[in-house]
Amino acid sequence: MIEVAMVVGLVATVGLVRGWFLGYPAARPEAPSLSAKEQAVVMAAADAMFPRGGALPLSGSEAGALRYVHESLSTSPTRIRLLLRLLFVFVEHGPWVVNFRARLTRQSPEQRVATLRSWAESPVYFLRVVFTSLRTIVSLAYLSDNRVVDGIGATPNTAPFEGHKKAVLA
Amino acid sequence: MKLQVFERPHEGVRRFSDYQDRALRDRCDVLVVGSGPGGSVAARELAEAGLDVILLEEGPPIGPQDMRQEAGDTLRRVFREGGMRVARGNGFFPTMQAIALGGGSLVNSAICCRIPGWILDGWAEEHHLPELADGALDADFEAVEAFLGVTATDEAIQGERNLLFKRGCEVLGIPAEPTPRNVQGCKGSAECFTGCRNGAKRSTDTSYVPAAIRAGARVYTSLRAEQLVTEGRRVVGVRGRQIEPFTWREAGTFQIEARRVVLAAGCMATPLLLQHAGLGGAHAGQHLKGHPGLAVYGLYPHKVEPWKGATQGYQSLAFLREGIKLEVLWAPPALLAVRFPGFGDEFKGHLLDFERMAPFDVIVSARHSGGSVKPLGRTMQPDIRFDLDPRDVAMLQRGLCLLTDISWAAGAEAVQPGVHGVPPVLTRAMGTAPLQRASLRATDFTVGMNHVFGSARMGGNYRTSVADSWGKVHDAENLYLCDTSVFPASPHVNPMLTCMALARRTARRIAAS
Repeated sequence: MIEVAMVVGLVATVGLVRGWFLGYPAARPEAPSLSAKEQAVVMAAADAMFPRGGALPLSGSEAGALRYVHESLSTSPTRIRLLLRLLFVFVEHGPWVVNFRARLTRQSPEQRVATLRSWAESPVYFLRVVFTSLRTIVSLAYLSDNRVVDGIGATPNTAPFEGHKKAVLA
Repeated sequence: MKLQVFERPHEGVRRFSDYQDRALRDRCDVLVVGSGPGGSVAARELAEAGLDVILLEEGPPIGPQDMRQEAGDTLRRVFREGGMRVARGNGFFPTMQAIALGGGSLVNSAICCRIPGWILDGWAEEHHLPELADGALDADFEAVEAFLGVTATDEAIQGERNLLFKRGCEVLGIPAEPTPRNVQGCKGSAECFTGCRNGAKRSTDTSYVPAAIRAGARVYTSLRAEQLVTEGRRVVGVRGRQIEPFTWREAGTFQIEARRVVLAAGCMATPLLLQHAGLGGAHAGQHLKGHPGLAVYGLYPHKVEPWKGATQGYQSLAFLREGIKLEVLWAPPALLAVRFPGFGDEFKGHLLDFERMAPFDVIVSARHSGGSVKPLGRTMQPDIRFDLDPRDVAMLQRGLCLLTDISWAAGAEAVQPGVHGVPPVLTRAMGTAPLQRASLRATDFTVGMNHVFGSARMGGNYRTSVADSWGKVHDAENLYLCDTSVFPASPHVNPMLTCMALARRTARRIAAS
């Protein structure tokens, strides 16, 4: 009996270690304030919300989501940094508890969208707040790329009523 | 009256690079903490009265060359906690406060609405402040408006987004008007939130602060006040730290001695300084109020190009007695897009629809809601609590319905109400009914709370308030408050002008005493 419990415990521990720590690609140098795991989560979320292709062809990661989150983390106060890191942990491992699915980065692109959509529309307020927080960061990152801003026609213009010739483009 | 225009408004402002990490010491007659709408007005009035004034600001001066059009950059560089500050309670309520010379006036939409007389009379009666009744602030309002050059938004720079609101209100017979603003030569670039690159906005860093410097005031930026130095019931100075701009790294220390101190550090920081010093009594940090705000996005069959035109050029005060103010809204697309429904192509489709969109917003007086501000430990980080009362949720819902009706009347083919439990896109066939029928709670929307006030309220009764009607803190001999923390209740309109009028009144009292 004890042997069985030990085997079950060992398997669970291995599974937990594997699920929590392993299987992440090496960290990229452009976002040194993010761990390899955090980078993977940011990329997965950004590409779930903004996949490549369509009328705005850039994907979330191509639009510089990693760089953006790195810069946000680097200049945030300690408390906000901690909250952002907790957010990434929840986004990655929340699906275990909430959706009974694999961690976010192990899901297929379709599953990631389904997971995040279920949070966006959840009756549980906390999940909607998590989703909105993630959406805010990823949307800010996506629209920080000038190609996206130009694509939607919102290029900054200090004199929009003075005609195109006089317009000062940023 | 000819407007005072300053070619180099930040000339003479002392910056972080001037301190070189040395411990900084100085002394003055009056130390004003905070350079936003309240503090800068007080500094100018006091300096022009011949007093030796120091004006202190935690943030740096930000000129057109420092401004960024990208929302995230602006949030990180100009807003406290990177724009991610949140009040917690029966929901999470984002609340943004600026950290820059000029405070909130640098990034707000330059809206200058006078508080209606009947509201001031209500404050006077309910909070035992008879000195504020019967038009007592009229002269102060006139002086501030004249100095800032407040005028109604010009039709030529309204742009289609604002004109749609005007048209919708006309069709429904709802009185509406061009928003009065403190701008000169506005070109309708819709960049108020990220700072006016045209230099058209008369934010206090380009108006009152240089006027204070011209009158002899010394202005120190990048200094964070952390502690009031007291001797008995007197405040004899302020201590704190030098803060590196944009990285917010703490550097050397500073101490400034003063015969009198004016706190204008904002509704969040002022009560923290009071609480750290044990001043202000039990009400310091209590009674936090705000204007919860929500928006609907109308989608039109033609190009609106909402990024063209005054940021908030039209408004309606028709429902003010109910506690509802309706406005046109604009903010960087990245911030507005957060609320779009869907993923992938659907979400990108909404982004592409931006050019046909016009957002309108409602703010409510939220008289039944409230909260508190306390320091997190010994820090200057606030722990902000706020509960949105169901009666105020109902008010917000009514406001959203009014805005949706205005959108239909203006010709919208669809409206995004941004409310959980209501279809994400309302069509004309659906009308406003789904929004009207919904049974809503505070957690059903992301409510922004950007006008905050009341955390060190004034009142005639020292047992229920922090300061008297002149902003003097009851339990200190020489400490005054000059920001929105002194509001005893909602002004029902955007608070900047009321804050400035009260600050002028308080400063003139100090100068005369």
